[in-house]
Amino acid sequence: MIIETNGLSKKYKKIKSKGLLKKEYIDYSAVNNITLSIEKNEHIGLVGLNGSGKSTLIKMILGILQPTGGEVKTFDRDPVKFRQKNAMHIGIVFGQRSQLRWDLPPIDTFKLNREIYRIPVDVYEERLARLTKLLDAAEFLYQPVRTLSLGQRMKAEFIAALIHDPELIILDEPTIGLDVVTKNSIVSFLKTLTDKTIIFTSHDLEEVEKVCSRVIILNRGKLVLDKSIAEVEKLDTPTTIKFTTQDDLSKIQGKLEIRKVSDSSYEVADIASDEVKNTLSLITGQLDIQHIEVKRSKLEYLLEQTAERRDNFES
Amino acid sequence: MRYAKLLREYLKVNLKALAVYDLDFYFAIFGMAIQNILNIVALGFLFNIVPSIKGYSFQELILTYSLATLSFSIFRCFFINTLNIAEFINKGTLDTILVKPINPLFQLINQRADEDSWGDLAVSLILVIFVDVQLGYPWYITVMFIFISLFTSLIFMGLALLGNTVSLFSNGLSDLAEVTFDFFELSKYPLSIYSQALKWILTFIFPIGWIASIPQERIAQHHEWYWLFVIPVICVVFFVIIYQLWKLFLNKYQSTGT
Repeated sequence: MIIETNGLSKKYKKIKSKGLLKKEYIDYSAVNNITLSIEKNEHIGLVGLNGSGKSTLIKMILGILQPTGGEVKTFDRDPVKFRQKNAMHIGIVFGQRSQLRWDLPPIDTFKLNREIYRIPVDVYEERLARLTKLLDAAEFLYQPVRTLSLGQRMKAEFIAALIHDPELIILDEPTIGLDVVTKNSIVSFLKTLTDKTIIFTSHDLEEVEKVCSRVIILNRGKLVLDKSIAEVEKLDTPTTIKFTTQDDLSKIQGKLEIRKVSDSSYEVADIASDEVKNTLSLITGQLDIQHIEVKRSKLEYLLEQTAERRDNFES
Repeated sequence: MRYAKLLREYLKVNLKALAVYDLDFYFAIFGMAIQNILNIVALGFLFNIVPSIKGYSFQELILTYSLATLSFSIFRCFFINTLNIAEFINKGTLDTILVKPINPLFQLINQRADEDSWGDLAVSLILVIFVDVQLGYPWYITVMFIFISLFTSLIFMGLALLGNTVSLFSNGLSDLAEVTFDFFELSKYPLSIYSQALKWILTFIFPIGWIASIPQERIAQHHEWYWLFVIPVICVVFFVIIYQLWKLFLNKYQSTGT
């Protein structure tokens, strides 16, 4: 067991109204009563809207934050007390903050990390060569970080975070702002790390589905879904069909609920699984289709659902 | 031993980073030299009006000034990053420090090199040597002063850490670390020019009297050599106390977070 939490909570005091002298505080639960356990070699996708408590949960797992309720164990010990010990086995990439030295080439940060994590030189050289090859990073290791593109910098961050061969890898929105090519190369790199435990947060849900073996959805600090990707696949979620045509839609008007996306591009949403075949044949049979796309994005649907449920509940 | 090796690696990286600054680095040295000369000229004007201040001659005051500057520039060259904790909290850099398996203060100190202060260090070293020669002090007094300055810089670091605790408490909203600069201004003058109450505070609470005034009085004037031992001990003890307090507030930061 790599991580275990039991009724884990974190409450903040937030200032509600701030007068000159009068202040009112409200309790705000960033993380609310979360119980989960993460096994070795699992790839966890941690998903949730902004402010749903993902970062707070990660910080508590890392021991940067002290929980206000419940307990958390990382590597079977208290992460706050054993923060520095645990850190030897954890590699972290924060998409929003860098551990690289801004004015120096990435290689200098790697060397510094070699000393920090006490990696023997030959082991270090071998790992560096392997990571560099996997991430295709050879060309920019000796250029100052400030001259690198975001994609190159991110790849360097990955090498810096993985150079000590950590058991647990925490990736907090590592692909934010990256182009498709870089994203794909990072995703396929992550897939090769089958002997590592990964916690991966991202707003790109397709990516989470590709990388992870299990998905955890948080909403307003609460755990709303904890299922393996295989189980998520089995869930009955509606399908969306998008198509492009120059034809007149009157032939199928009335039979389907069609929404116009842009000029000559339309969308039929919320199709139940047993209706997909009929709908498709109706569209393709009646219209001259230039392009058609059938999409069923489980996570996006689940995320929207959980968020809406809460909103309805509150209003 | 581990930290010695780490320190070597950090120094290598930081020196490399300094080299990146290139021209900027030399301009900074030049600027600092000018600033110091202007300060001394201003002090010189004061002595055109009065022959001595509380029994201190112009040269002796310059000695206090340069001792304080020497100590402060050592602080600035090596420990200046302790001033930046508010920025580190706001940017989230502190979190990346906390998730590394080494002492957070050690990392904080070595996080970045400062390019401005090397000029100050050079100028103050030259000043101390020059004034000592002017005053006719033997060479070993100069060596003693340099030795003591290595320790008194810890007092400045202690004051910076004390300012840090406010940032840690308020999650980087307010920042009192800059007050260290104001303490530096106070430390440039002999304690005897201050009122009795202030003298007591500057000796026992914010111990900046130990930086320049006390070494000058005890070692250069009275040749009481045991102060060579007492002063470093005081500096280390002050630093250790503040460091414990700082650690306490770092834990407090962990319970509030951002």
